[in-house]
Amino acid sequence: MIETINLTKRFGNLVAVNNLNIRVNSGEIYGFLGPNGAGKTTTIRMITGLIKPTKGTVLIEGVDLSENPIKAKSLIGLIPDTPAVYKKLTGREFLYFVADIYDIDRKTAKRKMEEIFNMFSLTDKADELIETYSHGMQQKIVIAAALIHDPSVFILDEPTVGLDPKSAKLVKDLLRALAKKGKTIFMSTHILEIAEKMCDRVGIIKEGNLIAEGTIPELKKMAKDESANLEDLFLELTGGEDTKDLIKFLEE
Amino acid sequence: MKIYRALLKAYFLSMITSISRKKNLRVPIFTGVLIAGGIVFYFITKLGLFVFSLRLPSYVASQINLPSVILNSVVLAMLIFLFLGSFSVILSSLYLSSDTKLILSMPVTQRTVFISKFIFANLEEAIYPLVLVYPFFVAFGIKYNVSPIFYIVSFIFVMLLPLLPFSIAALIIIPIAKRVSIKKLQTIVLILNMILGISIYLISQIPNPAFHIINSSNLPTVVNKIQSVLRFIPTQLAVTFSFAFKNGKIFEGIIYALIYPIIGLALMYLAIILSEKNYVEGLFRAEKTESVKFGAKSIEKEIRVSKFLPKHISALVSKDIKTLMRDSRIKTSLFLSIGYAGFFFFVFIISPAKNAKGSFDAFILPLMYFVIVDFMLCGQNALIMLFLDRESIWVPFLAKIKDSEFIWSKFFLPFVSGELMNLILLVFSVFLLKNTPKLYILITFPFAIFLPLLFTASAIFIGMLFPNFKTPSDPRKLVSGKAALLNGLLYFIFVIGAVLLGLLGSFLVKLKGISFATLLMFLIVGILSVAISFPMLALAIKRFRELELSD
Repeated sequence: MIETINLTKRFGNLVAVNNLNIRVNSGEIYGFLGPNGAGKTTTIRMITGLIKPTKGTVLIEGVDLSENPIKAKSLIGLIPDTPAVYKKLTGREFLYFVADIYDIDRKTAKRKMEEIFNMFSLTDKADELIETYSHGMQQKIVIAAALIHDPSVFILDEPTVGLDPKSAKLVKDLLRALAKKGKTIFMSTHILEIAEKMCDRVGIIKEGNLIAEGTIPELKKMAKDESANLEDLFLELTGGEDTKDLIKFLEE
Repeated sequence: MKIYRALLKAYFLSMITSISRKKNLRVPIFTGVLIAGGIVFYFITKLGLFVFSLRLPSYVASQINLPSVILNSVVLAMLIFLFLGSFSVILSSLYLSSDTKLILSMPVTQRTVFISKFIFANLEEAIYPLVLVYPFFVAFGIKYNVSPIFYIVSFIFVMLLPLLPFSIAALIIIPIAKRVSIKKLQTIVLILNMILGISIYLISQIPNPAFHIINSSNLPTVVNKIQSVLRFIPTQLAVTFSFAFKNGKIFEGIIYALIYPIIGLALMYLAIILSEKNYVEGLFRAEKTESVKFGAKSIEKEIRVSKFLPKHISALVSKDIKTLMRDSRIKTSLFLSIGYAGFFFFVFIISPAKNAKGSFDAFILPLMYFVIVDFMLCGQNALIMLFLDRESIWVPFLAKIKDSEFIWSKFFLPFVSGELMNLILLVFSVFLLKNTPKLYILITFPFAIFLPLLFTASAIFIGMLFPNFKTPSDPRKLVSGKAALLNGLLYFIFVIGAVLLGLLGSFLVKLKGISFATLLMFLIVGILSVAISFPMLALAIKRFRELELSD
């Protein structure tokens, strides 16, 4: 379970995230949507402890992140939007390193690693340096690192970016399976189709404020047109100024 | 010309931008750096005036022309520095710079890109000779009241000092880059750097009587025989044109001063011709990454090389060791540190200790040696270690490790390598010196033990004051920005501190005898190091706890 209470982040005069109150239950897939610069990544960074909130609390499985950061962080598996990993290590070395710093014993780590390598078709590349991997393969190794310590909460920032359709489908299936096992999934995405098809609930953030939250049918009810899809709804709620500007620019 | 101007301006602006991410801080920091450079320039000029005014004993003065030796030495030292760095500079500027491909996609010729990058590399590196060598020419001009043209001519000469080493490096690297991968190229550069360093050192030691390579009684004859050649060695050219100005022969001075830049320009022109068909091909060859397969079983065995450390620290250290050993840029930096250690070992320990007569030498030289070497091994490398994780820092940051475990893992390698190197060199010097003065051993011991602690701790503290986990756009700058700048300044403070300690030691020997002085020095160095290091490490841990990983 993830819970944010009045979560706020200010950068000087800019309020990046304003009094955010979200609760994501175990076994739930929560989609976090918003236009560029809305505060999605800042929220994810606060939830994972990478940056400290100006105000507010983050609870991971009831553990206060600011009071007990090590315990709270050990419950999280993060998959960031860019696969920034140790490129001078091999895939296997990287996963052993992650296992070591999460106190996973060698035997368990080895068993899980083989499963994950098989699942992501990485076995052949496991002993090559990560710098030789393609972007998609690097993204897979990041997902593998999040899986190896079996966290109860998964936080994903644009998880399918850079993945080929087959791997993207695999990740989607994996997330569903994890949710079924009772894991909490918090996912930010730009791909509204994924959010529409996969998420149990969706939150939409704009200029740091949560402007809408609920299941897809609930959000459609909020919109003027109930037959609209999530894309129309998203544009209606967030203003869609970028799209209008683009059309204007092309017309000119 | 317009394109060259635009490209050079873009490179310059990126250099300024790299000083600080905050726009409003760039101008003050840049101004601060300029003022600091001005102050250094002023003091070196004063030092130059002082050394040019030194009066040598008559029996020495008859054999040595002091101004000539000084100009020769400073230009030689700078040339060694430039030659040692030349391969890395050229490789980084021409082949590893991240913007090259973008510029090549624009409507500019590859010749333009090559020339602009080459010129910028020269201009960027010219700052060192201009700040460190040019003051000696200014001092020479003031001391001997030479024509104002001398200042312009010597400025051009000094500013173009990097041209020759860089042109030679470009001529060697361009054809190799076309044929080998970047990894091999970096290894070749590493080997070339080492060969060059050793060669320059050996050549510079030929006339050194301390090594008896040439019998000192035959030295004047040998020098006379090779005098005609020596006149055209860059260092001698500097002396020749300066003395021509001193003697009022302005035209002759200008001619001699122009020989070096003309040779440099001619070689640069050759490099440009060579680059025409080879540069872009080499550039794309350098982009390819070769896949290297590691054995899974051997990985499992070696993954925790430091088993005697706590588990988390051991995992972090093992990861750092692998990253270090597989990154040729870092490897080059490490090997150069070791090379410099060897170089200073001879300069500060073996050579002077063989001829050491006074107690002052026994204090000051080992101290200077350990300050320089430990700073390179511990101070510099601790910063490299601290920022080694780069953008991957989120992995340990998010894991269940304590803040102190991360900092101690970064402390471990530079500290241990510093201690090991000190121990090896201490034993080695005792063995080499044979009749080692007791004083030397007694004094060297506390420095060897405590300085790695002090330098590693201070570098980690400074690094955490200005954390920078961004991968530098210029691969040469493994550590750049404010932390490196402050660490460099701290180094000068340590050097001044070392000189003062040396003087104190020397004074104490005269006042209270060797035993008392040595004991007191041990206590001073030990207590100061511990008293400074541990609070700095505690503050670094606190800073890491407060760190935020945003863009």
